[in-house]
Amino acid sequence: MSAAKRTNDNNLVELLDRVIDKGVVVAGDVRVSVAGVELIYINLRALIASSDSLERPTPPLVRPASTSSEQSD
Amino acid sequence: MTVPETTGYYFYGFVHTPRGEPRDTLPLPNEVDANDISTPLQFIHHPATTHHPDIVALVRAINPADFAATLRAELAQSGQQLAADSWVARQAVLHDAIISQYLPLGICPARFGTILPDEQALHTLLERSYNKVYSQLKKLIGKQEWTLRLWLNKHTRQTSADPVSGGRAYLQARRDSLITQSADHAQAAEVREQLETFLSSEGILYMSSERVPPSDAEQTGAAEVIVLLDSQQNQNIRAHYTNDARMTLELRGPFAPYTFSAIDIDDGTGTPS
Repeated sequence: MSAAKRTNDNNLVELLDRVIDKGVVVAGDVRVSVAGVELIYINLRALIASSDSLERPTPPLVRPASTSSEQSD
Repeated sequence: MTVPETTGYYFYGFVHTPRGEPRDTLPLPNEVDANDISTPLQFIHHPATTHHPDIVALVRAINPADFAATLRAELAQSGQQLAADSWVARQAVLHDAIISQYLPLGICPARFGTILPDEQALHTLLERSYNKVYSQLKKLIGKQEWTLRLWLNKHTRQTSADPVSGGRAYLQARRDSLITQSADHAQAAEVREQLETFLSSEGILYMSSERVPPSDAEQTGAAEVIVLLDSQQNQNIRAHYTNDARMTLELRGPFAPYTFSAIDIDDGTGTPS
């Protein structure tokens, strides 16, 4: 499969991967704890992992230097 | 639009707006069906802040109990795995569509399913978040997130020796295979190191990915990173790798900067932000 073909795959998977697993996380007393939302995260991850065209997870290969890695302050 | 009874706010993220932006009902993105979004989008300001009045919360009033009930029903129906066309998957796509609409202003997107109980909680959240969010937003404005992948092209690698006949053929093939794998690993490591050097020299923010591109008959996956790019950096990366016959570059996106907004807003009991 060429890189060009791969480019058209997995858009939904990549999007869900970001939406459920990244972004600002609000914790504690100001957030409503919605029963089931954590299960939804798990199930969405299952959906992502079950994608036929998703690559096998591996350990990170490129570790950004501290000066270029994005971290919260 | 019929507005149902609501007792909470679905939180999409922090948006950078000019000072004095009125708290109006906001338009929906073109691709969002009003049937999927039953309540209007709003910017919520902190009424008394003097720190960062240009940071607001992008929200939509919802009923958390209804949201939870729908989630539970979805789980009950789907069992262990959601379908790609399920309500939850559609909501996740809507979540992203709404967030993406505010990329030109600058947005720190929130994780899917974040709900706050009332407007006071939003004010508290804004108070606790200003410093962290302001610092992030300054880096995000004008940029988008991409997945960057590099492959080594097969024809650039050393080929094995001609196969020999007889019982030695298997051993020879095994030896060649191991040599090839070893060469792959060495070249991939070199590619990753060069990529890291290049990204740093361009001042590009990047994060390691949990995956690497797959290998196949034509290409060997070498590196995958998540990068935050403005248009010039995007052009620079493409130009840098376009003329390199050893490898193939793929940029997947653009996405809202979820990976670069992965900040935790504490509950107020820890160190103040």
